[in-house]
Amino acid sequence: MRVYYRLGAVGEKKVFEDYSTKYYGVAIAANLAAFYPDWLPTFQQTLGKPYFIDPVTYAFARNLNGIIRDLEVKKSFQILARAYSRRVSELIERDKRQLNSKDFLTDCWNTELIEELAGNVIDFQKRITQPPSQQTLVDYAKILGEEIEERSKGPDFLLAPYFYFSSLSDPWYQISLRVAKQSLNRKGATPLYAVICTSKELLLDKPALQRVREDYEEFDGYVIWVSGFNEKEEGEEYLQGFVKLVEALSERSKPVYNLYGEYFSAVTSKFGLSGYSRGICYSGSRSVDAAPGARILKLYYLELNHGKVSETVARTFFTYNPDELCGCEVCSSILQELPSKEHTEKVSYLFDKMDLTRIRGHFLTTHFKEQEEISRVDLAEIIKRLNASFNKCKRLNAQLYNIPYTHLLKWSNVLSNKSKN
Amino acid sequence: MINVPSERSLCTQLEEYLVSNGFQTFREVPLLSRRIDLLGVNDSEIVAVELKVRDWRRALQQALSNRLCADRVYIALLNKYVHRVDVMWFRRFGVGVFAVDRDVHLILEAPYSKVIHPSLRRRVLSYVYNESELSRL
Repeated sequence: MRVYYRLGAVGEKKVFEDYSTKYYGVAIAANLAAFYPDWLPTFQQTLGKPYFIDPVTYAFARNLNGIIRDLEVKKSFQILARAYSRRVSELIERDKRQLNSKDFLTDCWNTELIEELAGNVIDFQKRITQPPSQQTLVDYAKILGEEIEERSKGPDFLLAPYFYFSSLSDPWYQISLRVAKQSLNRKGATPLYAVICTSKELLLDKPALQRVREDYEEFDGYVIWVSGFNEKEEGEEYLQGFVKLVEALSERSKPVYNLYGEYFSAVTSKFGLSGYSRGICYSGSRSVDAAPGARILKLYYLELNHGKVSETVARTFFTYNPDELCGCEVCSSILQELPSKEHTEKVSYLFDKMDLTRIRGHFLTTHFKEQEEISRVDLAEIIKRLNASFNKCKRLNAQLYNIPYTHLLKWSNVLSNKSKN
Repeated sequence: MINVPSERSLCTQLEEYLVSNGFQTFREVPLLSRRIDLLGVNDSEIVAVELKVRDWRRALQQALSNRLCADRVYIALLNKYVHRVDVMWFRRFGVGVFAVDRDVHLILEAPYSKVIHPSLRRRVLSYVYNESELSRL
């Protein structure tokens, strides 16, 4: 299973470096890549991890408030829009409006915009993490009409431009499909994956899922983004729909990733999911209308319910439940600094020393262990462990500490039903 | 229409009660990502009170965190809902209970907290000190 962590801010650099053995790869939002064209290739080369670029094209077709700061479109999105298309750039900077479906389709397709966008979105992903000198060389060769081999390792896969569609009758479904297909011409040797960015309601529509699979069958793989889909909060029918979508897309042994996933996505690897991306202890789920970027929150990951809680909740829970204190290498190394054996003092010390880098390190370490365990055991064992965690939460009165855990039973039910089918 | 007293009016009564018992009081005191409804401080101890009209479970949930920084911790409910409280939980976790009508009644005394996190206590005291200094200006 491959987990790509989203590079949320330049400040996360140290975490990515310090814990590089605890994850597979890095997901980089194209606007961040556009904003740091010099820093990113160096970071990527030093880190030496696989990566992919999320082209975030959807953001130009949503309410621009999500990408506006101080009455101006954020600089990173301005640069990105210029790299993608002159028309898109004019619309968001000069006209201050988002793309609408009529920009692409009125009586006929706007082929100029579609070709420009499709080509530039793919070229951007191919070149943005090349060192600047290499980029110049590639540009020069292009002017001469020559192809030169790119020296540094490119992304694992390319993502086709994508837009959010609420249903198959939404005009954005056809637009997204058309622009994505147009980009097939430009992919070269790197695999090109389509992004299925849709609503939760589509998960309940089996014929629609089947049609999506057929319409997108030319692609080398798929990335799913179900807007606002929260693995812990969704009802069982939506979780089942998600698994069905993964099964449908992976039917022909093509890779399928979830763009924002958590523990349930890791388990869905048993049904064909190749991996997922997410932020380091944030963004396990995201709505297309959420403002892009990372939220800097000090949240602590609990293995008990496979979820994150506030520092207050974590301190309180561990103070009253000494046996549950985390034994991961990050937490253990902090506790070793303290000679005292008194429990409350230990918990207090642990969280006093738990800065943002360590709290993220704890998350990466713990979640990596979870992924390894999932890979090692079969579905029946996962279900057994989920049930055991649910019962343990109940026994420890987890709700008293504001620790949600009913999702464990929900996940177990969904997986049990799937294993019976 | 039945006039149900708000948490705010409970707070005023509890504040008067604590002041009459020699405490200086502070409302909405920050504790990491949340706030303690009412804090009473005198020379020797910190008392925290979590106020709810009727939801004792939610009040207990918040009171547990308050025990990490205060010496004694209580919840306060409207007197007519106090019979719903399962006192076993409060004894088990060392949280006291006040009932409020026209007066404040101490239903269950809180023992001294043995789970104080020194850094959180320092932060709360520092906040209280700054607030006191500001009020003197």
